[in-house]
Order: sequence, then C-alpha cells, then structure tokens
Amino acid sequence: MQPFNIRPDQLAQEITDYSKKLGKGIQNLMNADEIDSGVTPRVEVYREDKLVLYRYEAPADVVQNKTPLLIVYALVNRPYMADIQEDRSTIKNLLAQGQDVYLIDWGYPDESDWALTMDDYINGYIDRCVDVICKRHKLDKINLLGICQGGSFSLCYTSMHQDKIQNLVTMVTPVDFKTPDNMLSAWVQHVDVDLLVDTMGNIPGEMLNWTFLSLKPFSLTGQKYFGMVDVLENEDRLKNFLRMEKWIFDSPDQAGETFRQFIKDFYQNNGFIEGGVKLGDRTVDLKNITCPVLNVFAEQDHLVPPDASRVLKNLTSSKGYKELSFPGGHIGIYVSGKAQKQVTPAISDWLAENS
Amino acid sequence: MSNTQFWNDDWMNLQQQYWQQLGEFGRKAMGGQEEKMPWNNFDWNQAMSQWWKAISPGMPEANKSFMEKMLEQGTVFYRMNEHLANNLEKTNDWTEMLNNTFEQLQSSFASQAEKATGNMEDGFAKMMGYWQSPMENWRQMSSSIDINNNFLKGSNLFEKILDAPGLGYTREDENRYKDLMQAGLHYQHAMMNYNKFFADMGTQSVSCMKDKVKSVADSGQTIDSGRALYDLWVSACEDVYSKHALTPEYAKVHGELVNALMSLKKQWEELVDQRLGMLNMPTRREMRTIQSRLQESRREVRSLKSEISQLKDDFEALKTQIESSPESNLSSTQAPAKKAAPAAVKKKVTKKAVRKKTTVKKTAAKKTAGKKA
Repeated sequence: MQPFNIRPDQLAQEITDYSKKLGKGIQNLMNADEIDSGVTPRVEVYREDKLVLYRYEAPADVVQNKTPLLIVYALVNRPYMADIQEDRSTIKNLLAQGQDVYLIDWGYPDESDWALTMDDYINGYIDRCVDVICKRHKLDKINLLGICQGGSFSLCYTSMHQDKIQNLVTMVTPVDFKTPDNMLSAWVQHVDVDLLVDTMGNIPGEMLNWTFLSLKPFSLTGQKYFGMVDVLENEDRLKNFLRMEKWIFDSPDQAGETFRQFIKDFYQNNGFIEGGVKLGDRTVDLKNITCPVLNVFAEQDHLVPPDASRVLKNLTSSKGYKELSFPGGHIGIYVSGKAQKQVTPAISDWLAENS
Repeated sequence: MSNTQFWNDDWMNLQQQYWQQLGEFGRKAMGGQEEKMPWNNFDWNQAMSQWWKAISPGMPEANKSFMEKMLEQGTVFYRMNEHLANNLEKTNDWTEMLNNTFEQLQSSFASQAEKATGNMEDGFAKMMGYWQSPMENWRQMSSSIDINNNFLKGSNLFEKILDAPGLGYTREDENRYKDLMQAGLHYQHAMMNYNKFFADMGTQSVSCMKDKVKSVADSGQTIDSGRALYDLWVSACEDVYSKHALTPEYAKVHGELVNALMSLKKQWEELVDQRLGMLNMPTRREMRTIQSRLQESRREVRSLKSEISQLKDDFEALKTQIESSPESNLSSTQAPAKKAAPAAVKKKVTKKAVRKKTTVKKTAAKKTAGKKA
C-alpha cells in the first residue's frame, strides 16, 4: 500500500500556514514579558550560606497536618519546578490538601562552595533545616519529600537520622543507578570524574544541560521548537512554554566535591545497592530506614527509568512501603494536569494515613 | 525601521505568494499540465536568515535563542517538504521517493554546513546532515567553558615539535607547552572518534525511517502531512541514536571526549597558574587550597558550636537536677527559695543528665580498674 497521502499543493498550504503562524507569533514573542516563576506565597524561615528554607503559606480554611513536610529538591535545576505556575503547582496542591510545606532552596553555588561535600549537604544543611522545623513545631519528627537527586539525598538522610523522620516520600528518585536503560549511567562510566572536578572545580550548569539534552537530542533541541509554532499565537500557552524553557536552562553549577562523590559513589559504584557510601563518619545503609515510605516514579521517565526507583522496595526495613506509578515523564509528574489530579492527592492521602 | 517592516510583513506575503504559486503548480501537475517547478528559484535559508537579521534586534534577549531554534527547525521542515514535493512528482515508488528526499536533504544540509564553516574539505558535514544536532550541542557546551574547538588546526607541525626533547634552563617551561600541545592533539583525536561514531548513524536513520514508513503502510494507515513525516523522521533519528548511545562503544568515545577536553583545559590552567605565580598573583591552585581549608574550618566551628550547645544544655540540666534534689532542698531552708524548673524540662533533662552521669561513672570505674591492674 502507498503510505503517502500527500499532494504537493497540500504541502505548499501546510508550509504557508507554518509561515503565517511564525510571522504572527513573533509579535507575541517580541512582546513577551519577563517570565515569572514560583507562584505560591512563602516566607523565609532559615538561611545559611546560600541555602534558604522557606515555609509556604497555606490557605486559611484548610486544616493542616500537624507534621510538617520538608521538600528536598535536587541540586540540579531550580526547585520552582514544584511551583511553576498557578494551575500547575505541586506545592499549591499539597497545601490545599492540608500539608504544611517547607522547601529547601539550595541557591546558586559559586566557586567558594567548591569544597562542599555530600556530608555538608546532608548531615549539615538538611539536618539543620530539619532541626529548625522540629524546633518551630516542637516536634521530634517531620515528614520528608525528596525529588530526584533530592530523593537520593533524602534516602541517605533518613538512613542516618531515622529518629527525625516520620514518613519519607521519594519522587522520581534514582536508587539503582545501573539499570540497563539508564543512559546517563552508561555515559558516565568512562568519565574520569576526578579529572573533571579537579579541572573544573564546580561543574557548570551548561555541562549538565548538554548531558540532559543529549539524552534525546532531536526531540529536545529540534522537534520541540518546531512544534512551538502552534502555541506562538496563544499568549498564555506561549508564556507557559517560555516559563518551562527558563526552568530547563536555569541550571545552577554543582559544588565540585559533592558532584565528585555523587557520581563516583552512585553512578559509578551504585552505592545504594553495593554499599560503601560514607558521609563524614557515618555509613549510608538503607536498611536503617524503618519509617513508612512512599515511592513515586514516572513510567516514561527518560532521566530516572522506573526500574531505577522500583528497586527501593526491597532495600529498606520499612513495614509500610508503598509505590505510586505515574503514567508520564520526569517533568510531567509535577507540571501535567494529570499529575495535579493524581499525584499530589495520593501523597497527601498517604501522609494523612500515616500521621 | 522600514526595512524591518519589509521583512516582517512583506517577506511573509512574498512567502505566501511563493507557496500559493507552488500549490497552483501542484494542482496543474495533478491535472496533467506541464509546468516548470519553481523550487530552485528561491534560497529559503538565505531569505529566512535575512528576515531574522532584520527583526531580531527588536527581540527580547531571553527569547532570541528560542526563536533561532524555531527557525532552524523551520528550515529543516521547509527543506524536507521541498524535496518531498519535488519527489512526489517524479515517482510513484515510495521507497525511491523517500531515498531521494533524504539524500537531497542530507546533501543540502551538508552544503549549508560547508558554507557556514567555510570548510569544503570537511567530509563529515556531508555524512552528518541533520545528525549534526548532537555535535552542535557539544560545540556549544565546550565553547561555554572557554575551550576553542578549533585549537591546533595544523596539528602535524605540533606533532613534530612535540617529538623534540626540552633542553636547558627553559626545559620545564617547554615541557608545559608540550604537554598542552599533546593534550590538544589528544582532544582532536577524541573529537574525531566521537564524530566517526555518529557518521554512519545518519545512514542508519534513513533505513530506520524506511522501516517506520513501511510499518505505517503495513498497518493500513497513511502519512497525510509534511508535519507527520517530519515527526516520523525525528522519531527514527531518536531510535537510532538511543540504540547506539546505550552501547559500551559509545560510552567509551563519550568518556574519552570529556576526559580529553578536561586534560586540555587542565593544561591551560596550569600554564595560566604558572604565569600568575610569576607575577605574584594568587593562583587557582592556591585558591582551591584556601577553599578546602576554609571549609574544613567551617565544619570544625559548626561541630564545636554544636558541642558547646549540647554541653550548655547538659549543664543546665544538671544544675536543675541538683537544685531540685533533697540535699539542695535541705540547704534551701537556710537560703532563699529558687524557682523550680517546669515539669517538661525536668523530664527531658533528667534522661540526658542520667546518661551523662552514667558515662562519667563508667569512665571513672575504668580509670580505677586500670590503676588497680
């Protein structure tokens, strides 16, 4: 059978339409305002070096969970992904469902932060933020929600400070770093990380962007922009797209020593599975985790394949382990309409059940 | 700004007329009337780039690169459709039509790349075509960390120089330069290997595309638009890429490329450091040492602060305990009464204090045992 049902005049029309859209849309692009990001009101409650701990303002008419929830975001990219716009905000939804939400904003490390280690981040910054929240609420334990690399950090933290964590939620968190479909892991095996960090100091955000875009170069650097012509005419959709674009390329540099250890211990040595991860004088052992764990992952995640997260099931000592599989991608799990309806309510319900 | 107006509105009108003319041609051709194809009368790439040059100064800086990417893809789309429309007229055999379309598409991109780089001898450009995308990402990233990819173009000369041993008073300096040159050559080789890896993926993606088109045909569906064809092409490229990018061979060339770039940059840094040292300026190496020591001191300070805070708490707990003990109550008959600690504090404190006491007792017992032994 002839697979093409295209006539030259149809093609010509299609291109004319494309050109028209491009011409009209460019005006919108020229007039586009500064992109805003992070929509939910919040107050700063603690600051240390470049880190800021925020507490989000809950709606007045919602009864809040007595145990606050601390969100630990990845060091890669910025945490406003979880609060990107009014109708696509994980944080806003968690607040609406009664969670008392705190978030660590890591800021933008510069050369003076080069020597920060994973121990400094986890047993230092995260631990002090947890203490601050415990003290504010006169509690011994809080709930912890880790996102992506922040999820790995949260696992490390909980395994070493289980007495301070009531419930642990991990979202799109890599646990097994060597699943066969993990492209990032495959690429990094031959990289001399010591040479990289000794040379660069901090790892530039541009370098990470290159790596992430290289996962799907044709879609992420080509097709996406071609498809954009369809939304150029609609100011709101254009603004949403530009907001996402800003987030993708808003990549802080990575503190060199932390990057060194994270890549070596996890991507190269698969530390959660193989063991041997030491932070300061403590050893990370997921078997120390006894609290309830909710593991949320995305089925079409090209950065953290689902199997990389699923493996957590058998690695902790938690009696209350639960999984939530979301039919979407690594970013869609926060920003898609479907995620707003499925993911955040499920997290809140689970936290309520275990409070 | 009349020029801008022309490119913004008039060029769009001109474009529209062109494509309408083309559509008219298509309809006539379908009706059997002989017409000459107007494809080659207009350089789309040049026209778009002129248009962009005219309007881009008025574009907010943050949106420029975004628009550039869109135009790049627009060019891919235009060219694909041009070749497709041309080939649709020539043959009814879809495999031949697809072959011709992609062959023409690849060579038009190659010629564009050659024009852009001015390097007519660059054989890779011909093979790469649309497959320059991953390489372009690398070029952009590496230039953002201050490495010029075209460093050491005449590498043969350097290879000869590098074979000569360093001599005399300046031998160490010479060696540093030689190391730099060697790192440069090594990077070029790594880059070549990386490029080579991609070279035949372009060909494979056309073959994958054919398979995809065939499966569309086999499933009884059709490709109804240029956009659908473009999407299928992207999907074919991604499939081939992901298959290769997961292989150990790719991991190796990728790792070697990153390592070679880092070695080169490190050599540069060492040279710069050496020159800075000669000028009594702080070097990067020194800065790193200071940063490491500073961070170590910060950790110690934090740890000491935490210990002091703990000791303070313990001290307060002991104080409270002593004050509330019966002995203390007895003496308190002669002294003014002190305010008792709140019950909650007492409870919290007692555990810690008892723990502390026990530790002290145990240590004392050990010491005594040691003395006895």
